[in-house]
Amino acid sequence: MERGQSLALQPIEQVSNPKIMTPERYQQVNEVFHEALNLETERRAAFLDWACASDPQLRVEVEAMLNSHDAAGSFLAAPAVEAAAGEIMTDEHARSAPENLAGQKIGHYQILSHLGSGGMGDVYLAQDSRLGRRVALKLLPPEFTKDRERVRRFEQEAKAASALNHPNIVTIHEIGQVKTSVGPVHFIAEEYIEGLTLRRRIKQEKIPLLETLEIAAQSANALQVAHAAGIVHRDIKPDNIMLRPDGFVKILDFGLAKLTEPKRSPADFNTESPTVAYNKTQPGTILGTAAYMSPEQARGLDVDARSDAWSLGVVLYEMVAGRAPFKGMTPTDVIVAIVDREPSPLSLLSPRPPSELERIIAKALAKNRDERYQTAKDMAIDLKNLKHRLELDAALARIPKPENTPENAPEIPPEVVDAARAARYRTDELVPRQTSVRASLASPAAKPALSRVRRVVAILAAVVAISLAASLALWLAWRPRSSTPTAPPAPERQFTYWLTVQQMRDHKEYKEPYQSTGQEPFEAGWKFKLNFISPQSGSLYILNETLTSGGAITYRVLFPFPSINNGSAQIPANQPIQTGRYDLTERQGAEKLLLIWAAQPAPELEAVKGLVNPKDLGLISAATQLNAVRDFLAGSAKSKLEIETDNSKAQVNVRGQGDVLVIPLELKHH
Amino acid sequence: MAESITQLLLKWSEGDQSALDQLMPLVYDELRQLARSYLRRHAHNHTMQPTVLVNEAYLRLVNQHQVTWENRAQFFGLASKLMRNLLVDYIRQRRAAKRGGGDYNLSLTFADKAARQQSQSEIDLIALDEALGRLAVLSPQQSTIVELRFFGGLTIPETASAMGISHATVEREWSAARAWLYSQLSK
Repeated sequence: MERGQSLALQPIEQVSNPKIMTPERYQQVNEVFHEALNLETERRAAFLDWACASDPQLRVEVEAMLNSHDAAGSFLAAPAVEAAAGEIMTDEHARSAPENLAGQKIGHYQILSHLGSGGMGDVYLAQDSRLGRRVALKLLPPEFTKDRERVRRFEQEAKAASALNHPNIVTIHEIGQVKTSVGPVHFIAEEYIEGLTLRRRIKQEKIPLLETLEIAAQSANALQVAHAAGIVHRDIKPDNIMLRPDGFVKILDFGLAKLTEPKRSPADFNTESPTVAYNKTQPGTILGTAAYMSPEQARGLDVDARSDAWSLGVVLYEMVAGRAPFKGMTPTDVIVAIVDREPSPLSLLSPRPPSELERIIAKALAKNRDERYQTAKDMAIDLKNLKHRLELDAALARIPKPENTPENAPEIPPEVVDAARAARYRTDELVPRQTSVRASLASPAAKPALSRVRRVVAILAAVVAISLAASLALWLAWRPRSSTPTAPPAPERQFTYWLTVQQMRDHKEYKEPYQSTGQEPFEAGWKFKLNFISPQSGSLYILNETLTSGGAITYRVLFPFPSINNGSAQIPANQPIQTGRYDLTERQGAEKLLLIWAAQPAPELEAVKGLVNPKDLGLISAATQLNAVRDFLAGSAKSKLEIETDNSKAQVNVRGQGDVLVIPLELKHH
Repeated sequence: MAESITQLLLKWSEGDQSALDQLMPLVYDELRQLARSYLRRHAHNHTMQPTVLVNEAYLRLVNQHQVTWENRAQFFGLASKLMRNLLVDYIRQRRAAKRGGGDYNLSLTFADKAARQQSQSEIDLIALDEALGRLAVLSPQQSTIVELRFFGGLTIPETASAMGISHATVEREWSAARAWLYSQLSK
């Protein structure tokens, strides 16, 4: 930059009082600043001597900016939300109890990260070093554990809850206390659930009706089992209902709410907000919890199983209406609404929900508990019946009306018949075989499916000819769960996979490689390849689930890989494919893989396959790509899967309907 | 059904003041979540760029696909201003509550952590907001750039297209604004 250009800056006499910064003056300072900035550092002083010769104050201003420019480092480099987050975090830190323990050890649990906070204190993701599994570790705030009687009651309740064994109830592994520098810390270690809370699901979008009924029915099942064991949940709310990607609903925190409840008698009612006096520090939590309280809870009376039915009714209402039935600005307002007011009628919603659903909710939300569902079982039955009826109605609506005599009965599309045949074949075949279907991966619909077949067959027999009904019923039962009732049945896809495992010792290969289903625990450092074959052609993608530094789930692309299969995802029918070799890292834990088998190349995954280079290491870090992949996975996660481990051949057979099958594969290593 | 933050922002930018009331709790909620994930990141001691995390949060906050190209510039301007107001108010309230309540029982180990934490997020948003107010008088263009970049989380190209000026101008004005603000805050 030549000096001449800054001559225009020279008439400094204009600035009468150089100490007062004006827009003109600032402009002048800026121009000199930019001129100087473009120079090498050692030439700047000479330039300033010259440019500010008659204006020492200008030089002070410019030098201040130049110094700041050099010193600013990463100043403003990260957006403001992050700076604010830092500050908020400090407060969250101060609130968290007993203190932030991430990275520390509580007994044999190594705390990995903070998962969230709730009325029960903080929840951490932790590694159980004894059993090599990940757990959700709840640390109870000291204020809840000061009262020995309360701790005793809590332990009693938690022990009872830990005896509950039901797929819809989160398993409690251990309850205990350890001594730490800040005194004894009470903890609960429980099954770590990946998925999202119903609270988040409600926030995302309006939940489809059939899914709403499924969630409520699974929740009612869980309540039924707990109630039979004499345990009342006391705090059913969307935050305590977890939805797993595979469709399982898991209820958290059975009976634990007892810990946070103050001891109180009915006489306490009418004192100022008696039910919320215990938790002054977290007003949001109180408001959140108050909305789901039954009238008897709000009054401070004893609760029983029917109180849970009420709370589930509130949750159901919220899923249907998109908002809670009892609202208010303060917990007291909410409580008044619960005790005194009727919620806004669901019949006003558009589209109007089925009247049977209105009846179920009204029954769950009867103020007088004698008029409510007396057992969660009754509620579960009503919910399931309604769901089946709606599914059947939708299916019947697809059959051309009404001259349905056997002679001129409508043609069932060939793909329906095929699907039905395939379904029957599968049903017959699966049961007697000496194979184990991994329960944790099987769709929860698998069990009800058989009874549904019977129901559907019975009803349909009156409508169409028996032979037609049988295949149609099978088609109804086996069409993919996630599809809307009007969607055509998806084709079946299948494939087989197995691992080739190379054991390692002292970083050297040790013994011959062996074939594996991936279910036994491995040693860290071992290497493996994945093998894959399908009778159909399609596209194969393999992702490795990992956590971002922020704790969010992200993915590493493992396959396609440039040197294998020409870098393409497309695999011809019946052609075995072996992937590259992967290491099980030195750190112990579980390596989560997703095998994705798609009829067509998936654009979301094609977009990221190029990341398999030494720089990116396959890691999807662009937010848009990551979101696209997440959406893709979420959209495909619901397809129904049959995963069958054939131990005799050391391979896993997967079948499912839908254009895309997503199979989680977890390799444990220590 | 809770309206999305983007819908509320759009409503608000069309003059619906009530949207703002609904908006605040949602944004605060997101911020708290962000703070928690921030916390986890520190626990892991990972090396990923902080901006990845923040962009993710911002994408969640503002679904840019819902915004048409016509109102994009105006929308980002408003969204950035809003973020500025929300964040600064939030911090202000938090501090007031802390001073007033004063009932935080910090253990010694934690107090130490808090001190380190403070030094890491060295930006005092309230002081910055005040300095930015002074900058708006001196150079409205620089102040807008800071608002879009720092509070709105826009990149330089995004800022340039939102303001209809060249990349080079944005870069030049941004570096001056940054230097000036830094000198103001280190006084």
